[in-house]
Amino acid sequence: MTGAGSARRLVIDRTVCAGHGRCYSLTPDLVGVDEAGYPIVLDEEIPDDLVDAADETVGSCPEGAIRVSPLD
Amino acid sequence: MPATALAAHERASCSGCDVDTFALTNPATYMASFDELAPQQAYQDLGKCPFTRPSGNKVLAKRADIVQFNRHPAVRANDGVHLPLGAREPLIPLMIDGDEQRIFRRLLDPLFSPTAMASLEPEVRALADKLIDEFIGLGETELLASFCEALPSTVFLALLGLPQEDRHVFLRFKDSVVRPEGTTREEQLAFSEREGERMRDYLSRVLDEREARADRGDDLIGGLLTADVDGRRLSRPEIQNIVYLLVIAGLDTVTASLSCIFGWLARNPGQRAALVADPTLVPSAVEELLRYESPVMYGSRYVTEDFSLGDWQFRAGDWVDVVWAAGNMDPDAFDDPLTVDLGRKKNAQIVFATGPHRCLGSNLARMELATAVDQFHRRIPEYWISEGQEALYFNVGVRVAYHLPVSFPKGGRS
Repeated sequence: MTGAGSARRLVIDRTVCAGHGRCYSLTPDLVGVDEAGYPIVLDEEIPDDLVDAADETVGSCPEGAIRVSPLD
Repeated sequence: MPATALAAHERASCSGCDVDTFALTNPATYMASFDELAPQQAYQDLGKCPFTRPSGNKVLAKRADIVQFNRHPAVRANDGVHLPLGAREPLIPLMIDGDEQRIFRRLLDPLFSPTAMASLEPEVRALADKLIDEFIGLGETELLASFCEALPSTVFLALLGLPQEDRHVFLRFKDSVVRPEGTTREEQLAFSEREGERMRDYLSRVLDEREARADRGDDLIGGLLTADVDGRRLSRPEIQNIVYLLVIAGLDTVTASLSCIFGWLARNPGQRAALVADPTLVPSAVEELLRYESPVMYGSRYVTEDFSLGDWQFRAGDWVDVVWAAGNMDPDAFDDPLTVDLGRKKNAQIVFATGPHRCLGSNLARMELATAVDQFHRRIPEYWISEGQEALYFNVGVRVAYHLPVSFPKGGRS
């Protein structure tokens, strides 16, 4: 769980994303999809109840192209 | 040379490692393990040290190496000369690279997007039902032909807009070029080239008919005939080339994957029952069985410039066998990789390849596999390999259960 001051967001490295689609399949509330099948991060901040799901998504990317980063 | 099947005596040529840690201490066992039911242990062993085959091909088997290597700009899918699959020109987009490849992927990716594929799900489910209707009363079936092959090939011919009544022509063609006849490499290349020529002629006639029609059709071929690529129309040879590749890709790999998935589930009743009881596990189960079975075991890559990566020194002109199946068994990337966990978390498996050549049809494949498993289990929750018979696997090129005799209570779930 995150509290005040530890807000997190998902960040995608476009240079290595290959459009596998694991992120938006696993966490559609956090990541959307464009018409070619590439991800779009939907929310600036990961809600507390989706922190574990975001972690699962990060660990499921075949390219290691998505990470959780502090919201600054 | 492009990748050919790995044989045990090649593995034995590895000298830079502690042989005691290898299953290699018993070469007979090692060789057999590639041919039998479960090659997974053999794939895991492949990653234990950097390994170059006598042919000079380097073998990448660690997941992290594979991912880094595939995104390197000096790594190409092909040298432009050695073309597998009966191709006469490099196949688009699989055998082209760089900006040209990116332009074609921008055109093709949306045609296979998750949204576009999700809209096909009801049709796939209805087709699965229809196929199941044909054998559910018998209490047994040869599942490879009756379901694993029939489902994806019917779906794909409809998606492309090719005639269903010629399904046998396409199936014969893809079998010929994926698993060519012949005992030498030259014989196999000649065989697949001949078969490829027949398919090129066939597609040429199909495209003639299409172009003569006023309405180009709303299927994939119609889409290619009217597509805009960087401000121009696709040429006739380009369209023919793309469709040629799609026929192979769409007809072989989902069939192989379905056969591997159902073959495993038929042999593991406890985990199958858990999956039947909780269908929300289907997506993660499909992902896990794709990781464990790795139906598309490896790909070839060609190096255009010297570079180093971890323990590896690559040289311009190197051929590299990138073994997805070994990456999927890598203990540094997966907890307890030899164990199937249908609810596995953080499953970053790489059976659809990594980097710019990530499988174009991965969204279609995942939708078809999940829908097929879910619908099959709704109708036939209990099934097993028929008594006195066994599932037989072919483990060269693409892993497939080519003989999959399955039995179940007549009528399935009443």
